[in-house]
Amino acid sequence: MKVAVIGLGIVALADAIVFARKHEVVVTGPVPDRVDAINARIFPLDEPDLAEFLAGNALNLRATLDTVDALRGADLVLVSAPISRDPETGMIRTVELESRIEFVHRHYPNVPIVIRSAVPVGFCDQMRQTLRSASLVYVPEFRREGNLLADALNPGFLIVGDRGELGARVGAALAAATDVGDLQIHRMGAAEAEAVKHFSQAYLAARVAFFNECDTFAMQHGLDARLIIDAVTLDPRIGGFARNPCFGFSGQRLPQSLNLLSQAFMDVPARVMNSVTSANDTRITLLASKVLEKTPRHIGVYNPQGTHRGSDTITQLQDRLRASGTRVTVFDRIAGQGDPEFEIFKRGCDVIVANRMSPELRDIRDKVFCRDLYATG
Amino acid sequence: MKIAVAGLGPVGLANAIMLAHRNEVVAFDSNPLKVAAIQAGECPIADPDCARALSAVAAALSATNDVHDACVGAQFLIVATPTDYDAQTHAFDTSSIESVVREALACNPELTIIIRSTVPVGYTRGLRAVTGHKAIVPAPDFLRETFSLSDAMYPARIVVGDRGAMGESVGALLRDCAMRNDVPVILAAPDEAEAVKLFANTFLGMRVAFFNELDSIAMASGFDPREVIEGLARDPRVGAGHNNPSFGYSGLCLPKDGRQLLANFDNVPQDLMRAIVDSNDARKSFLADRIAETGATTVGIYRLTRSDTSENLRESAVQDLMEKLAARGVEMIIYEPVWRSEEFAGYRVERDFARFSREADLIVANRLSPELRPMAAKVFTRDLFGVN
Repeated sequence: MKVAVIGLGIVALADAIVFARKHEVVVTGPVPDRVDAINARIFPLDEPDLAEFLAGNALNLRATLDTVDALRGADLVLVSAPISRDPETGMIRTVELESRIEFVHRHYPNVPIVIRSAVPVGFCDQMRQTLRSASLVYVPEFRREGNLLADALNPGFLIVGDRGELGARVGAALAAATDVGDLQIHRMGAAEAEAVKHFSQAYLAARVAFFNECDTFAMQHGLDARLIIDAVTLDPRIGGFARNPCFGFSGQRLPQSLNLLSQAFMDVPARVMNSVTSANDTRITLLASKVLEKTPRHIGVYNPQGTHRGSDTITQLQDRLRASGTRVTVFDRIAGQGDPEFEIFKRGCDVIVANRMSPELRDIRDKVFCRDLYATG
Repeated sequence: MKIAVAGLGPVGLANAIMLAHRNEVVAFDSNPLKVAAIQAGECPIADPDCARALSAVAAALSATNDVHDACVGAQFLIVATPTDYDAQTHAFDTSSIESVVREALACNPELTIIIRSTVPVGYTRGLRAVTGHKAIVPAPDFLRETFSLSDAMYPARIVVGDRGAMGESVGALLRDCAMRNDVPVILAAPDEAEAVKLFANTFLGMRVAFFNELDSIAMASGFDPREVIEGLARDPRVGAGHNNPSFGYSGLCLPKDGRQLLANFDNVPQDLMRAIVDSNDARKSFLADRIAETGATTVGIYRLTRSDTSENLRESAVQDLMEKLAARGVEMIIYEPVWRSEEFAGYRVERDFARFSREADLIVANRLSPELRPMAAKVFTRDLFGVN
C-alpha cells in the first residue's frame, strides 16, 4: 500500500514513521528544511524518541515538496495542518487544512482522506458536504506529549469517526500499522469523534487544574499538599495519574481544546469547562506573588523545554515577574553537565523558577521555586 | 475493648458493625426507634448489607439512648452524627458533634474521640480548643451510600488526623477491623485529614459535573453524548464510572462537601472550585428550560429520591429541578410511593403509577426504571446507561 502524509508537524511525522515500517510512505509539506532533514533521516523536531527511531530503522519513507508527486498512486491519504486561533476575533482558523483537503479531493476524489488534526466539532461533516465527498473521515490521535513514539506504536484504543464501510476500512489500515495485535476499534459519527478528542483534553485540563487548586489551598493554609493529594488519589475512582501540581496546564493541545469547546458552545452553561482557563490565570498570578514575596533581586527562569513547545504557562509567569520590575533571566535549553553558562545563571540569580525539579538544580535546591511534589530529580 | 458510637445513620451503623467484629460496641442515637431496632436485632436503616451483617455481630453490638451507658468504660468514641451545610452561615452545622462530645466527656473524660462526620477544615483544632480535650482526632469516612458497609470493611485508605501515638492507635483500631490487611494508613495533621475528605468528594462532584456539562453541550449541538462518553471511557486517563449524565450531582455528600470546601478556600484564589459548585445549579436551569420548552401541560415527576435504590429524599437533584420548573410556571404531579402524604411542596402526590402515567404528558425521571420503558416516548431523562 502507498500512503501519502500531508503535513510536516509532529502528528504527521509520527504517522509517517509508523506506516513506513510496512508501507511505502511519502510525506509532503511546504517546508524545505524539514523535507531535506527527513530525507537525510534526521528528525526535524525536538523529539528524541522519534529521532532515534527514524535514524535507526529501515523505513520506506521519503519526503517531497511536491504534493502531486506525494499523492500519485496513493491508497490512503493522511492530512494534518496547523490549526490556529485568530488573536483578534478568537475564531479558530482551519483554512490551511481545508485547502489541503480540497487539493487531495480534487485530484483523487475516491481515495480515503483521513483528517488527523484536532478539528472543531462539526468540521468533518461540513467538509463532506461542501466537497460532496464520501471519502473523508476523521480519526483523532491521543498520543501523550513526551510519550509520542510509544503511544503511536502501541495505542490503547482507536476511535474512528465514521460508522460505515469507509470507517471500517480506514480503521483496519491504521490498526494494522501499529504493533497492537487486537487493537480495539471504536467507530462513531464524525462529530462524536471530534468531540471525544476535545472532551478528553478538557477532562485532563480540569483534572490538572483541580490538583493545582488543591496545591494552592495547601500552600496558603500551610498544609502538606503532597500528603493530601496522595490520600485523595488513593481512591480508585480518582486514580494516581496526572496529579502532580504544576504552574498551570500547558502544552499546545489542552488550551486549544478548551478554546474550541467554549467557543462552540458559549450559550451552554458549562461552568467547569469554562473555568479551567481562568483557573490557570489565577494560579499564575498567585505563584508570581509567591515568588515576589521572597523579594528577589534577580529571578532566573529555568525552562529546559524551550519556548517553542508551547510551554505557555512558564512564559506567562515570566511575563508577570518581569512586569514587577524585577530583573529576570531566562535559561531556555537543557543544561549540559558542567555547562558554564548554566553555572553563571545559577550563581547569579537568587530565586530560580522551574516548573519541574531536575538533577541539574539539585545543588541550589534552596533557591528553586517550583511546585513539583513528585520530583524524581 | 469497649467502643461507643454516636449516631446510627449509614456511617455510624457501618462503623458500629465493622468495629463489633473485634470489640464491644455500644451505639447511641437520639432517635428511640433506631435504638429499639438495634436492641431487637433489626436494621434501623434500609440497607440490605447492614441488615445481613447485623446478625453476625449481634452479641457484640448494643444500642442505648443514654450517653452515659455508652461512654462509661469506653476507650474510644466514634462520632458519626450528621453535619448538614447551612447556606446562611456558609458552613456545616456541626452542633450535633459539639453536643455529643460535651455530653460524652462529662461521662468519661478519658475518651479518645474519633470524628468520622465530615467537618470543615480546621474544625477539630477548634473543638480541641473549646473543650480543652486534646484527644480528638478526625478520621474521615469515605463511604458510598449504598455500599457503606463494604466500603467500611474494605477501605481504599485510612486517613487519621494526628501524626503521633494517638493517631497510630486510631489507625490501628480502624485497620484491624478492615477485611484487607494492606490498607494504607495515612497519619496527617488534623486540617489535612479534614481536607482530604472534602477534596475527594469535590473531585467526584467535578467528574459528575463534567459529564453533565458534556451532555448539556450535546443536547444543544446535536451530537450523540452516549457515543462520546463511551469513546472517552476507552481513554484510560478519563475512564469509566461516574459518567452517566443526570440532573445534577446529588446525595448526602457531594453537594455539601463542595460548598464547604469552597467556603474553606475563603481568600485563597480559585476558579474551578466555585465552578464545580455552580455547575450543578446551571445544569438544572438548563434542563428546566428544555422541559418548559416542550410545552407539556402536566409534567409528571417520577420519584423524589435520587434513584430506585435510595429511599432518601434529602439533597435529591429532582427537587431542585422542581423548584426551577415551578418558577417557569410548569404544572406538576408527583409519583413517589414512599411519600406518605397527599402533597409535596404544594404538588399532588399520586401513588397509583397507572393513573400518574396517564395524567402526565411528559414524565421527568432522573433515572430510567423498568416501569417507564413502555412509555419511553414521553419520558424526559438524561440517564444514558441505566446505572447510577
